[in-house]
Amino acid sequence: MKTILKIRNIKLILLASIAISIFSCKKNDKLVLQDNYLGGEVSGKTALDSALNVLLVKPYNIEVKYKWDQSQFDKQYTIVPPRVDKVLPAMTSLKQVWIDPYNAETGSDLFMKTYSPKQLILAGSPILTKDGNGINGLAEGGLDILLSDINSTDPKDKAKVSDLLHLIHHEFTHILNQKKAYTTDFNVITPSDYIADWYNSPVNPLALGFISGYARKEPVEDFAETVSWMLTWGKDYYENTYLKQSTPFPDPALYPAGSYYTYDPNAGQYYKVSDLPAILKVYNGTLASISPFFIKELVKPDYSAGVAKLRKKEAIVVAYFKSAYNIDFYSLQTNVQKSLANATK
Amino acid sequence: MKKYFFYTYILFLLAGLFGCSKKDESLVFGNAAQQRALTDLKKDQLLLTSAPYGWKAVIFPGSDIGRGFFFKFNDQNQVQTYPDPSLKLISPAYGDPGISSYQLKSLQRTSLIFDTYSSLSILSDPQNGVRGSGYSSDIEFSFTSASSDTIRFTGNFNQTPMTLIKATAAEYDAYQKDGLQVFKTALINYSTSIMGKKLNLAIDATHNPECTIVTDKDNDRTFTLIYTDSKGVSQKQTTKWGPTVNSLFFQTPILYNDIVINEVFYDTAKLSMYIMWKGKRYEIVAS
Repeated sequence: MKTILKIRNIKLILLASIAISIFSCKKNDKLVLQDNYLGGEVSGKTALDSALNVLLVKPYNIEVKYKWDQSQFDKQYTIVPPRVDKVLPAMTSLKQVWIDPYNAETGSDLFMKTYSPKQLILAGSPILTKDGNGINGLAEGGLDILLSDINSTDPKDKAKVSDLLHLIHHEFTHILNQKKAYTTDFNVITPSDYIADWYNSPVNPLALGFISGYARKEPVEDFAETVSWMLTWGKDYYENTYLKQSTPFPDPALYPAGSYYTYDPNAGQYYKVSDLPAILKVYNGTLASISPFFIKELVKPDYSAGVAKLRKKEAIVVAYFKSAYNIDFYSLQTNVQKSLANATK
Repeated sequence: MKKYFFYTYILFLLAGLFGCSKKDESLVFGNAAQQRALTDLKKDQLLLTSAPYGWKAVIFPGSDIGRGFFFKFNDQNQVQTYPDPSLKLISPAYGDPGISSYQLKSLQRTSLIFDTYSSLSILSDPQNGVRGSGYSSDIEFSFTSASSDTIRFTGNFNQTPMTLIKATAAEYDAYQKDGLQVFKTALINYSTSIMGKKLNLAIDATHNPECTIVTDKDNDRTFTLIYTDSKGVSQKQTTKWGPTVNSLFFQTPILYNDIVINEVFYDTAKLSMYIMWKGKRYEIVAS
């Protein structure tokens, strides 16, 4: 191969040409995105959108979807969107009782920036299932949390804010569990007492080692309920009221479940089903008229076996928060209670 | 070996030179699908917002009587609503006139979505009516047909029919002055006045079919026309109606011979009902 130029030079020229040809492709045109490539919707911006932007979007990258979007909801349920005037007060309370305590506990907003779900999807009505129960919230894939019944929220009503607190901490616990799993030791504390139709069970959940009826649905719900009720109630109510409950009830040896009605459980007042016709004859609206019928053979319940099981669950929850997220759960509990008091002041 | 490197370089050069060849593809329909969809949405929004005095509306939920509304849409995606006064009986807290938001969205069909809670949501709220499903109504509607002054919708969830009719200045004024309540009261008085009487739609000497109008007094809202057709067969047509500020607007039009009856008007001076057909008025005579 005889050429005027040496192979070496040709190689250089070729390399230079390649370099030129590669960079000559560079285009400076800005990438123009389609106006809207998912569904194409025409929607306005309001003062509420700006307020939510300041409250949650900018600091935590949490989008609040309050406008109706059927695709976010299971079509088997009839649901309606929230009232616009309810959204900002509810989200403000929500931030106070959910994000603020974690910030106070971890010392910065980094934890919530990292672990908070990226979307809160709001429904105005509760989600009512065919069996008559309601779904208050759902957490999906660590990414979004669905909160229903926003129309009934009230930022100054402690009970309503506590409902919201319980709901968001329950769902957020699912998110935390979805990011870092808890030990399966938790699932074997009360393995045989998880039931699908938990709402039909007449048994006091504490007797079996559960913090609530819903906790009996399955272990993941149990975990979320244990966390969220402990945060909602605070240490005082949990230790001194929930765990120490001991309302007397008719001796099961004499009165099997279903053989008596409850008049006032806190006062230990029960009467026999078979006495009902006789009671109706003499009942004149006063307690005295029916008190002779109250069952006298009452026993104090012994929940110690259940309490012991619940204590085991509590220990796993505390250890999980420490090892997975380096959070002192009891201190978080105190912070949540402080925030709740402040929010409803 | 070196020789092959040489060819490799040539290959790179060719790739570099031809790799960025760009030919702009022209689109068959002019614009990208998304842009065409958006254009349609804008057009539909313009149709809604361009009615200077808003829209009279009637809606027929699956498990409820016909209901009347008034909507005035603006280009900021807000809608002013004047609801059927009877909705306040279902939901005392939310049954008042108010402003909420709406959006248009390309779903299976172009849809009008009342995307925050309004008095219309009362009919869909699962806490009202049948627990869990409300009154089988809708808050999301597809455009089924549209003329310049009437738009018909079908609900996306429960197929609830809804009709929007362009309002006049006088009608808009009436809605703002609690016109639906005034009309409701008038209808109750009317139904008292015709009690025990026979109603006939007087077209001409040989055509005077019998009508039955059931108003709020009996908590039902239907209109029935009974007549004998040209073959001598007795016919009966019944439809639900929803109130506008001056008429009973039918869910489905009633056809009598070649007359299409969409609504029955109420004459507040004569205290009687009539229909309009091709610019002419035909009375419903009580006797």
